[in-house]
Amino acid sequence: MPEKTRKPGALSALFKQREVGLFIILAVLFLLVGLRNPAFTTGSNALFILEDTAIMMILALGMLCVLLVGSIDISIAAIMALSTMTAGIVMKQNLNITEIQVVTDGVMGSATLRESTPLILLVIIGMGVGALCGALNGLLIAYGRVLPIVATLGMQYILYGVSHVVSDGQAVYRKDMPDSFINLSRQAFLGLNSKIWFMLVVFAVMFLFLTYSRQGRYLYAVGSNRESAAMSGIKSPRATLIAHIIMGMLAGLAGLLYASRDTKITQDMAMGYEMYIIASCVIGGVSVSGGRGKAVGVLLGALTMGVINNALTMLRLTGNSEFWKKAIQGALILAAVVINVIIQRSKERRVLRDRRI
Amino acid sequence: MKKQALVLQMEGITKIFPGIRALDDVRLDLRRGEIHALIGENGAGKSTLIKVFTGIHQPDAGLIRLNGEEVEMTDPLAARRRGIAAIHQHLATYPDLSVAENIFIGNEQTLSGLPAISWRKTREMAKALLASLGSDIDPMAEMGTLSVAQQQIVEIAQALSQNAQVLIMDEPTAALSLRESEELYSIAKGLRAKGTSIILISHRLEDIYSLADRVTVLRDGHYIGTWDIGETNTEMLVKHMVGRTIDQFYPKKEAPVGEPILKVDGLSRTGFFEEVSFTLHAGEILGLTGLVGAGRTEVVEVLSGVTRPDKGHIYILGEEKAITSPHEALRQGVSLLPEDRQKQGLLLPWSVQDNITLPRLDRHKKRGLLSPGSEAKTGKEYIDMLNIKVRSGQDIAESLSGGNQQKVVISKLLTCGSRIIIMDEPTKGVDVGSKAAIYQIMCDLAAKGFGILLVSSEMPEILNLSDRALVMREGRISAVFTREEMAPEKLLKAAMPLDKSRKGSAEYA
Repeated sequence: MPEKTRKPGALSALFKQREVGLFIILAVLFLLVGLRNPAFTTGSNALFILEDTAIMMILALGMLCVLLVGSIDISIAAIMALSTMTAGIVMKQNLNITEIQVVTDGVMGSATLRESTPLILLVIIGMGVGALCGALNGLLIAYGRVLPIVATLGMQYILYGVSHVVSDGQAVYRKDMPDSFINLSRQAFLGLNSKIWFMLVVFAVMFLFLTYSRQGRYLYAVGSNRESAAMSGIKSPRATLIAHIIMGMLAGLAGLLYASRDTKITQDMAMGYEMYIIASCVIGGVSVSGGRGKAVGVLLGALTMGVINNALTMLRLTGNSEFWKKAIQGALILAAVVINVIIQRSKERRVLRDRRI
Repeated sequence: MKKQALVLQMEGITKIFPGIRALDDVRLDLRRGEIHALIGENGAGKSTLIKVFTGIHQPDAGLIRLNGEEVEMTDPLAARRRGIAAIHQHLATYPDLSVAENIFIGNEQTLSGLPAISWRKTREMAKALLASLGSDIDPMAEMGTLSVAQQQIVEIAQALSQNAQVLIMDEPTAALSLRESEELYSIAKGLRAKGTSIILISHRLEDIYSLADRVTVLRDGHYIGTWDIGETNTEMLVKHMVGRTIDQFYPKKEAPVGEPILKVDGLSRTGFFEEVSFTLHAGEILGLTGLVGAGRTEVVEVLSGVTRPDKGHIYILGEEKAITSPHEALRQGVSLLPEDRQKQGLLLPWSVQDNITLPRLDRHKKRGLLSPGSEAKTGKEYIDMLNIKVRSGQDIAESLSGGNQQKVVISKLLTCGSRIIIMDEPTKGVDVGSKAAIYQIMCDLAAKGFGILLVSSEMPEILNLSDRALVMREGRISAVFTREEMAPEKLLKAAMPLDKSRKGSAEYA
């Protein structure tokens, strides 16, 4: 019986993507919450959620690289603290406040002009320190052969210690910040907040890197089969190092946006953030054993986290109890991960049934 | 006397691993446009020699000349750049990446003038390459979803994509059907005609006779000789490979076959094996063989509780049992000697005696505390019984040779009082001397009334040790032979996949 092999249509090709399951979960979640509170599904709230999760997305894209090579980084909050604190001290020391006379509607008034180190330099310092921390992690793991979780756990304590020394135990507040830095997270362009723009640029670069560059593909190769990678002549320590440097750089950038948003730099800023980020990646279909995961999936994963977070606030289910909010949040994260795993596993079973032994 | 130009000369190659001299003064030369067979038993050093040549291992002594020029293969990439491609025995693929990407990894097809990968070019070239091999594998399929045979074809396509001047095929046909093998061989002949030199490693002497121009034999890491294929015959090659007569090697004893102790009925695990049924008797060595990917390992995993079956029944001593975990398997009297003893069978940093007593620590307790004296006594007992070569029971397991490590794992099984012992490739990577010792232990155990399921891809082992042999093909038991019926051709025929041109039944409906 001659069988015609049908060309898979665009729709079935779309459904083969691992990210589709997640998209459905996200849509259902969005609609369910919308039924309870119509304000949730408005465009402005959607934009708010996006703005609120942009920093998490940037971090999750960095974590994607690290997880792809089969590593992990739990020192990201510490990297954020140290790199941002370094930039904060530079801006504090060079801060220059001048009173200027301005004429508004013919009335004389005074305003303060807060200037310091140029913003671009602050960003370079923040991301540079972050990259350095990431490089240390990478060197320890790739060349020192320390287990990733141990290496980055140790680095976490070291980095918190160093940022304490650097800042002399002091925090950096709004009064120490130049206008340019305060505005970093507040500007809008084409109706979108700057944090969203930063996230979009990072996403675009990361997507191109992971899809079209050799080094990007080698991150997948190393995580997928380290021994084959060695036989194909791919330098897996180098790939691991690069992944950690990217993670560090993005932690530096995310830290600056975070500090600008909160107008405050403390040593315990973003503490515990690493678990949200790793959870975003896992929800987004990234394999923690390496080799599998996409930038799009990671964005959807982080967005799911953001929606859960926002929905719990909007629904006021838990009153003002932080405890219940955390507990429900945890349960929803687990549910999202489990549902995603079930969808993927049923796909794999179908493939297994179809394959020839 | 130079008939053809030499592409490759390797001289005095020596490679020492901790505890083992894997290669000792080995040589090999390869002419342009010849197929050169490299043969020897498992552990003879064939794969190590290939790994030295492809830059994965650095030799401790010796030199490599490529086209007359002395070269150093510092890493795999250096070898690749010099036009050397290898199809390795173990699949070296990336299960998470697409077929096309697997073919072109390290040799990416970029957009002209840009450093960016062109996925269109990659996909189209992969499709063309696969088509030239007569395969219609979807270049965008995920590698991990393909069968072993299909993955092997992708590996061959990868080697071809590099226009190699030297192509190494390490057991390339082990998982291919006869038709696929023939296709591969016609490709190999075509490449030879174009001047490519091929090193062929195969256990199937008939392959070697139909393809190779010359043959080199290795044994126990030593160079034995090189001959034109016409000067040789099967007996002579086997004698050079084995270096001893068969009788000394296989101490098969006739043991009385007793009552059935393990019965398997209609066991299935979706995607891996279907409807497997057999009975193992006390005092019997039951062979289980088949090609790579036929489902042997998966059956063993189910019997030892590593994975769960989807269908079927397991009866132990006549009672139906559910084997839900490896611990449960041990409790029911089913022990597994795992294929990868270093990963699964031993705690390498522990002492030999601690390894031996681990499964039954409860026996060495006095007033709730472990008694080192009692542990040492049991350790010594088994070291003497199996003649494990150690200075004392305190020696670290990692310091032992492969064969002696294997004996430690067997000791562990014996302490559990199991009557059913599954041995998965028990002599893989074991030197010849220890092989004989392991065979001896196996036959002694059978004589004492143990039932042994011997899972092996080495035909001589199955032929000379088992009382009956099961052959698996494509996830099913294709044949059962008694000791009298067993013959190499019959086993091979039962193991070879059915011709896949007969589509429909083998393809998914």
